[in-house]
Amino acid sequence: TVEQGWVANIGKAKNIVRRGREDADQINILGDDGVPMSYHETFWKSELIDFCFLQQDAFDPIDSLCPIERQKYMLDLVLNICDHSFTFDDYEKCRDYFKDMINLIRQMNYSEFESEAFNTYHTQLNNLLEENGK
Amino acid sequence: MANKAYQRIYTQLEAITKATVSLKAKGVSNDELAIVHGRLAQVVRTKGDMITLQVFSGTEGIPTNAEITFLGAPPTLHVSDQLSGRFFDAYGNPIDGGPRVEGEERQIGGPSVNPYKRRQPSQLIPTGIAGIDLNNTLVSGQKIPFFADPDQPYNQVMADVALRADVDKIILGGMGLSNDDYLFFRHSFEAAGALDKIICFINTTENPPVERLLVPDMALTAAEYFAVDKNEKVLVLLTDMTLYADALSIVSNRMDQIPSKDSMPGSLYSDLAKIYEKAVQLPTGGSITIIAVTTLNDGDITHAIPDNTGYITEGQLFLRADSDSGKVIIDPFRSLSRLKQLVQGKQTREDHSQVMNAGVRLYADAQNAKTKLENGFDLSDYDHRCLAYAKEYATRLLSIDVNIRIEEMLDTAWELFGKYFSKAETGIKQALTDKYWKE
Repeated sequence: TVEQGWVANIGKAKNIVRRGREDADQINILGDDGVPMSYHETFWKSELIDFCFLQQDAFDPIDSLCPIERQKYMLDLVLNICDHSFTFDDYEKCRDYFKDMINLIRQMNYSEFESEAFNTYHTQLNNLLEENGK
Repeated sequence: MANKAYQRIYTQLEAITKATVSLKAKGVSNDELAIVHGRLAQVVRTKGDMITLQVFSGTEGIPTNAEITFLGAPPTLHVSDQLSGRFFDAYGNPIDGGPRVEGEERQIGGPSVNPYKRRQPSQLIPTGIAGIDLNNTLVSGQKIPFFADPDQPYNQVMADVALRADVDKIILGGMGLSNDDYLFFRHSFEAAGALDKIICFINTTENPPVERLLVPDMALTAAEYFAVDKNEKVLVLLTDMTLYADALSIVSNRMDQIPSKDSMPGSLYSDLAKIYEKAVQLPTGGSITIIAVTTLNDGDITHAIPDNTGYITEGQLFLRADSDSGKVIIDPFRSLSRLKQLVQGKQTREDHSQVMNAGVRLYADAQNAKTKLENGFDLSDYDHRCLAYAKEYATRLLSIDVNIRIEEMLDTAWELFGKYFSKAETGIKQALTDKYWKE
């Protein structure tokens, strides 16, 4: 077994993705300005899970193979971000913020586990999180 | 085809349909050729003594006491170097005014290459078209069709691909070609000075449709001769496989076989696979690459013909007219080369896969932006940049009229990324953005 609560974590991630899709549909119907900021936040959290955990690049030698320990580490990392709540002035800032986070985690995915590059990106990610997240 | 001495002549037909005749005969083999009332025909079913023949030019005017003689063998092709630069009909008869080809007589339509003798494809086939080379790279030994509506310039794209490929022989199998198309191919090959590389088996719209059924087997028998016996790299072009399948269904329906989906014979998958599986990379260096055309009805890929084809082939190249850029493009969302990973980054530059991936993903974001626009919403700054990027991406990379080397395709993509997006927005591995990013 991976750990206690692994299945619950998966369920939590799935639910975020589900809610993100529902909110995306609402944004498509009502427009970016027609929904509360929380909708954008939920949508981008689901994008985070999609881009950083669910997607893997088969053509990258490191990303293509993710051992179970790394999977657990990354899922915990991503869910931890999703547990934070954020404040944004407008939806464009929300999008740019999450894109920066997604990019940092993708760079982590391309780096050897717990290598220097990996840890540097992780630190940058934590700094970004501290700027806004609670 | 004179009758041999002591040849048995049958003179009573049991049944005549629009494409087939039936009679009782003994000692007849499946696929065997015969002459029915002076017309060439082929055995398509034997049930005890009851033989059913497909008459290639149709059965109009055949009486019930027609004379039938069996020729004792399935269709054959004489293979030798004399095939080069020649044009034939579906039976292998010359249509270019030249002499008959002399050489070893081989039965067409035999089994495909022993799987144990095959090598995994590994040689890149550059086409100059980014929609192919960048996003759906082709390798020799691959089998892949163009999917397109009938009004798209698929023959033109195929001719371009064939002439740019570094191959020893190009074998064209035309099924239901219009005279214009036939002349187009002939002139293109002549103009490129490539006539000695070409062998054509042509069935035009003026020829009977059932004849088409011989064309792929003829083309592939010739291909196998050059690939196996001579270790040559052979490119086989088959256009249009939809018309081939239509001919299959004509015969099958006339034989009262119960039709399957879309009135196609239930054996459609096997019939198509028998042809496509001849694509091969041989250990001795020879290869057969098959590029076919399957025309669609209003873009419907769920129709039995493209559906079955897609299961057999190693991907597909979807041609469509893109209204935003005004160009005919290889649609990145509906095209795929299942062998591209064998050469991307290995025989091409290290950044190929990442650039391909990012380019298409950003193009997808542009489609989302387009939907927002159509729904009447205000577009964000990112949306505007995506739309501008998509137009340039389609014009400079996806369009079929672009002819550049792969390295230039990659540099063009980097230029577009730098022009419209930040590094974080592309999400590309930093080691590559450090090296290739253009401000």
